[in-house]
Amino acid sequence: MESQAPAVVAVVVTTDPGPWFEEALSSLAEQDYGELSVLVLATGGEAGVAERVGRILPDAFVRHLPENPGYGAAANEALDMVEGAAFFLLCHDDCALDPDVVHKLVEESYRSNAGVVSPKFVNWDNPSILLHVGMSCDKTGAVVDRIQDGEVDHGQHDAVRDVFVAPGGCILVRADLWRQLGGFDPGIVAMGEDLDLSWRCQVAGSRVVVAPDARVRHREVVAGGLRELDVTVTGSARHPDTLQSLQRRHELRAVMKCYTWFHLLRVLPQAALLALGETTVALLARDRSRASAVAGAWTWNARHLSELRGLRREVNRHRLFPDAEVRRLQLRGSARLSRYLTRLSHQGLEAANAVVGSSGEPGSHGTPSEVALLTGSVGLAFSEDSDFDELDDLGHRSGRDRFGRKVRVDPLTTGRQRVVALVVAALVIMAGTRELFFGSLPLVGQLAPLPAWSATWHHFFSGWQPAGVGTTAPASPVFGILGITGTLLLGSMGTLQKVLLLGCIPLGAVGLSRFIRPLVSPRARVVATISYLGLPLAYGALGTGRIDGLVAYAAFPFILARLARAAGMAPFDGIVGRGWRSSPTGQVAVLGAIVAAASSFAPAVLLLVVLAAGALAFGSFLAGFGGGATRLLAVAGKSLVVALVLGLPWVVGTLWAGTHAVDVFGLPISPSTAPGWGEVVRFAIGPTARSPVVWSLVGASALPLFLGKGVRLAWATRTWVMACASWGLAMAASHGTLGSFAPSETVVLVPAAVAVAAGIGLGISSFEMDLAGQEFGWRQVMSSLALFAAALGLLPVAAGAVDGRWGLATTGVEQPLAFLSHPTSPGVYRVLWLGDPRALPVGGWSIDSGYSYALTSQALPDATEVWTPAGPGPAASVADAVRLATAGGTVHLGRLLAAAGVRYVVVVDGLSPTEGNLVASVAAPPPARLQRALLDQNDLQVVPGEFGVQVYENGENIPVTAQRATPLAAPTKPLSYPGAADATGWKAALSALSGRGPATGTVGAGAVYAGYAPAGSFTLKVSGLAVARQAAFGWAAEYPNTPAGPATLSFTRLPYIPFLVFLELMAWCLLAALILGWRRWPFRSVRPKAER
Amino acid sequence: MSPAHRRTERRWPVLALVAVVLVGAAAASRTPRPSTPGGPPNGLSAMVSASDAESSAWYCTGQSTSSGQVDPGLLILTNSTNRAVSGSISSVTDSGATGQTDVVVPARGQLVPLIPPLSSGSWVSQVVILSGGGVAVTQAVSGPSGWSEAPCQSTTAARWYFPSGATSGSDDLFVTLLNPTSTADVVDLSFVTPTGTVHPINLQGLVLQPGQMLMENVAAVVQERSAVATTVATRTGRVVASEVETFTGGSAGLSIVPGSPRAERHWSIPQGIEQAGGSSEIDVFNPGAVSEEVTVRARLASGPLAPLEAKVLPGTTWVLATSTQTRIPAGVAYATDIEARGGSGVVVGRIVQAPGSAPAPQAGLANAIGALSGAVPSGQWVVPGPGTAVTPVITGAMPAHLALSNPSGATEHFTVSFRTPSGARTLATGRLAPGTTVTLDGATLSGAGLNPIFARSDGPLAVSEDVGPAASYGVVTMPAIPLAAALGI
Repeated sequence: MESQAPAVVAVVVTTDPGPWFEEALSSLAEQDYGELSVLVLATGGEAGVAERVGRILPDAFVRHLPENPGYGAAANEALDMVEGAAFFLLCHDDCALDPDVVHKLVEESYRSNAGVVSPKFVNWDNPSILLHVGMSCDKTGAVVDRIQDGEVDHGQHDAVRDVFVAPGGCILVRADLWRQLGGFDPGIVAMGEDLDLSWRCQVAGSRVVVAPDARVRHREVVAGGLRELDVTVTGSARHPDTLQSLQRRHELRAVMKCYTWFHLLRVLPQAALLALGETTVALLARDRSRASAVAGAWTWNARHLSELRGLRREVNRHRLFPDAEVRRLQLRGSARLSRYLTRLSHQGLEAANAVVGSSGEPGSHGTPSEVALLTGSVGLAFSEDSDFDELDDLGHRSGRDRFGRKVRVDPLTTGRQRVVALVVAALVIMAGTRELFFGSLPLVGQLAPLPAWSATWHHFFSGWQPAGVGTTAPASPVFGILGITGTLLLGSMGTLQKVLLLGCIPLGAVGLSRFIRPLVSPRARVVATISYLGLPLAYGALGTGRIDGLVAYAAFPFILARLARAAGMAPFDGIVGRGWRSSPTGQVAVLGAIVAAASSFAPAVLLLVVLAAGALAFGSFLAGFGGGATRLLAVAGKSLVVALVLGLPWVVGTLWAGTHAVDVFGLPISPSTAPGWGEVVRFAIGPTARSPVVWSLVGASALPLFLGKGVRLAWATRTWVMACASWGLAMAASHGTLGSFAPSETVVLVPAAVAVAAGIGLGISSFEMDLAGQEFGWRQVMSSLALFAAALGLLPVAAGAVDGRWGLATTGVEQPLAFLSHPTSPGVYRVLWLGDPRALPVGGWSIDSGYSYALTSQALPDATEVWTPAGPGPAASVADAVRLATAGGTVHLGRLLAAAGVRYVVVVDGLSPTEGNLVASVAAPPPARLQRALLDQNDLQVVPGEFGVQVYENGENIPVTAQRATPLAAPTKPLSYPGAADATGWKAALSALSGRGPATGTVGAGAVYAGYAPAGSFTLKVSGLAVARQAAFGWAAEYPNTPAGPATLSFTRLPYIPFLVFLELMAWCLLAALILGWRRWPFRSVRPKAER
Repeated sequence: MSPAHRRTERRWPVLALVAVVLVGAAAASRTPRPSTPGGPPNGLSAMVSASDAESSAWYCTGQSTSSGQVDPGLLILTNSTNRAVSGSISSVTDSGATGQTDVVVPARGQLVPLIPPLSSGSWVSQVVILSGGGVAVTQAVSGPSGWSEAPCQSTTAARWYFPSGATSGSDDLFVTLLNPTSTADVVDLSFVTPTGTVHPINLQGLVLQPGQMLMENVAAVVQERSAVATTVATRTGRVVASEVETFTGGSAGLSIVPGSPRAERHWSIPQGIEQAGGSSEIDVFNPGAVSEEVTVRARLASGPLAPLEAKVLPGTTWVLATSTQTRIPAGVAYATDIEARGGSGVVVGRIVQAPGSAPAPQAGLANAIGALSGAVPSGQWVVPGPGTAVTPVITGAMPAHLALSNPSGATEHFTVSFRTPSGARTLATGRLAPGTTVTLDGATLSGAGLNPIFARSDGPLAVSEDVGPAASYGVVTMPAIPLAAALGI
């Protein structure tokens, strides 16, 4: 009887086949399908292929192609060679088919009316391991596997289903369809031809299904690295294409071919945006191969636009289905982004940025999971999901399991839910900062504009700072950091400031997530992270313009994690790292570097390290785990030494300030306006999210103390001890209990915030793990209440996001003081700022609690005047004068200030100019007696009309550089003030002196006064000749016998400070190189603990 | 299994620690927060600056330049320190004429400088700038109807309150204003009378340029009122204000009083006496926005009397005629404490009118002594003498009585002494029980002559001196001026 079965032609494309070829041919020979013919297309030379085929398949047709045009183009040869076939079975030469594959594929093609049918692919050597059961892709063409890497075949995927991509190892395609479509895209030489063909088939109205009953073993010699790509096909030998680059370019090619214009215009910008983001991340992660692949995909396709236009016309000629129909089978969102974020959430930054070797083979570490990067599989991302099996055939969630039962899903148990929760939190924060991101920043707190990048460098390297009346103290390392980052941003200092200001909050969340990762479940980790974001502390710092608080918020979780890891505290001791930075020395160095960088912006971070180490050690002792306390303290001490060494010039300069050294941590605020205990505990230190509802968040964090067991109880104990220490220190410092030692509460409260967030995470983990199996009781009730309280406690911050700026004022003192930038008379003058230290927009020094002062040049301040040296130097005489006036001890304050060149006295009334009867939420008024004292001064005149500040003009000012005919009456008295005769008759003489250049001008014969300290470090030259100097008022200089002529006042001192600062910079560079692994010698890389 | 799982859970120690820290800190935070130290308290119109001050200033306003109702007056500079203090006196008249006089105040001595008369103007004010501290400046005025002495002001203020005054009959009331600052002021004057508050249109928005003085005759705009309380309020800037009252009826007198820059809750009148045929009243002015429950407690040497109470509505004055109170016996000295509750406080003054048959002057008004003045940290007060031996305020001027009242609830030790350029001598010393008053009579004070008298106490003290010649207690009263503590800066 004549067979009724349709004819099938198996097209096997082979290039220099390996030893597996015979087995592949044998599998074809053993097919139980009678109407199967085999056509072998040997490319790139004969190499005995015909003989090898002949031995196993004597009836097979073998055709040699002299060149290797690529798999798709070679397979297309069958279109011309074969007539009368109903199906083509397009096979790689490394696939071995089970004997019933062909007939099952054909059968399924008829049953499903499918144009393309794909078998189930399993591992060549271990058939129990699944490779592919059909594939899918997202809108950008990123191919996604439907299974996990290394998933064992238990028959769990053995249902016939529609898929978007039939994997390319073995495809049964209806001959008429293939012919209609013109076969494979010959432009796709490798990687991605299956996506393209499957997509076009669906556009042409055909189904693509997978028939898992048909099983094919696939060796994947190309993807597995057993066969290298033919460079004659894929590119030049000098710049060979990688699998990754081919995959990316062909995915994009398919996208650009197969969408209609409408969808293409919608999708292509999204794809471009994702590509840009991926390239950026890849560059940051030093994954040049990936960055090159992504960028190269766009340039390659751009070069082939004319070819693509023709191919698009061809696709549209056969189009039956609209894009909306085709896209039903695509995954929503971005598969790669989803995978990246999930991996970031689950495995951390290093795993998310796992580098792929440039050859396209698995990365240097050889982990199989990294192969998934080639396809952008989300399988790995969802590997921790309990609901993976809930995905239906289309990858969607049906809410039912594979048996049709309704699945009850606990909140945040799936990766997708967690990602959604984090995205929602991120959106709230973005909404809350929208006006800050797009608007200008007010001159409030520490938000003074950054100077130009070159000026920042100059300030960092300068041997003299204009702070106060001048000092030779080294500049803060913060200017080095700003200089480096500003240079990297091509001088965009405005952007840098916003990144610095707004980036700290998400960075802190990432840090918290990393810190708590070893301690809790993924769900608890997400909740803890959101809780950290939901505490008002960061927004309080933002609303009051405190960069130090924000930096501490961002850095401290990293510091805590590093501290625990370096001290080997369980379970942090199980974390394995790479390179020198994982060695004990390296860990201390990394911790020290983080502390050094953070303490540059917020010196009180140094205290936080001590506080954290002490609290953790005491907490360990309290919890019965005191064994590692000594190691913990030792690590903290070493890291502090590293941090101090990295900022050594500044540290020495700070210590040189004597008792003023503690001023770098913060200036004492007025106890009468300091936050109360309740405000401290609920972090209500800023203008927003001050609701008592935040108490519930704090209360919820106590849950692990009641429920926790083992390591969770131990860490809950440690973190709560840390929180108590943090709150106590903040309270004591802000209420003057510690005298002039008053670290900023925005910084000091950060450990408490971390502790509260960690406590919430530990509480959830305790609920999940420590309550398992227990009968219902108070613990369950308490857990429910705690969860509710935690959720409730997030509301104030969510509500605070409404204004878009977290309560930060729309304008600062720049508006009422704009006139400072437009001097009405020549000469160099200074401005004396007085007020609460929280209100001053510049750094300064303390006069009393809640009463500080600063001296700046007569212009609106910039950031160089925010991070000032610890000691005021001779400017302390200004403080004494102000103190005298406030105490009613003088009515000539203006004269007393004349030596310092003070022309304006500015009293800042609060954090920002408030209007009408609006009450500032954060009160930072100047001392009550100050206004009366200043008004009682005979020589100060009120400048009317300024709002939010009180401005007084000094009627007895002396320009900073001035001259008159007669010298001072009593010039040599140490630290004296000008008498009535001393303050009159002066005229401005020279231009302003800065760290970048000397003061110049033309002087007449007589006396020249220079109010710069230290006077001995300056030289006045007139017509090139140095003029004799004598001391004035104990710190300034007078040149009593100055001849007439062009004059130059310059700083002349051995540049040892710039040299020390240079050494400091080199130390940073060296440490960075060591940490980043650019130079490992002489340190050996550290093996993972498991290997040891 | 991690080591954590092999150990006994130690849950309660940390719970106890957390509870102790949270509760303990909450309790500790309830303790009063210290205020910022330093500086003279707000609300004192006169205070001698610290002896180690770099410079100090006094503002005197309310003197006349020519004879008439009020004759040209005097300034008395009293140096409480052991070194001479130099300074300058800048004078300005209401017509804008100015002059300057340099002075040197001898150590522990008094100086009545000779200030050359200015070319024009009817009223004159002085700004005394001293190149140091420790000097008190008072001013004295005299005229046909009597004489008076009062401290100048050591501060400017945005508000000045005068609780007493009268424009009935031929009595005249003048308010003098001085702007010693370098900023122009805009000033409003308002008056509270028994018939209501008056805001004369021509006394609103008065502009005082820097250094300018101004005199306003209240009787011209608030006529025939037996009680006039005055409020001087600046819209911008700060001024100095004084009040000059002339009594020209049956009981004649002339008084100059500085304003009070703020309301207070406790006031004291250390000594008073009701004379047969005379009258006296205590004026309790409530300048605030809420009602005050005011209690007036008179106290004889033999014990306290039943208090008098009243509710003083905002913007009104309680005129308590003490001479009509039968519970206060005539001819017996008594002290009075005034306490206000419910608002920010009141301002208290007193008008005394002796019988017309008594020696001149028979009438006068004075401010009560506020609690702020009685509770200075230094515990020292000075009562400058009425001129010097060479230049007395008026002929025969001598301290008549010095009363020290203890407004606190604790017994205090006090010392009264006087200083001369050659040294100091104690006049009296002793203990003062709570709520009691000690009075030094003229005989005791005669040893001091016209030298300044100093009082020292280890607690709050209300000190005032009645100066003769005058008809009765309270006609010419000189309150003690508190001394600031050394700055140590």
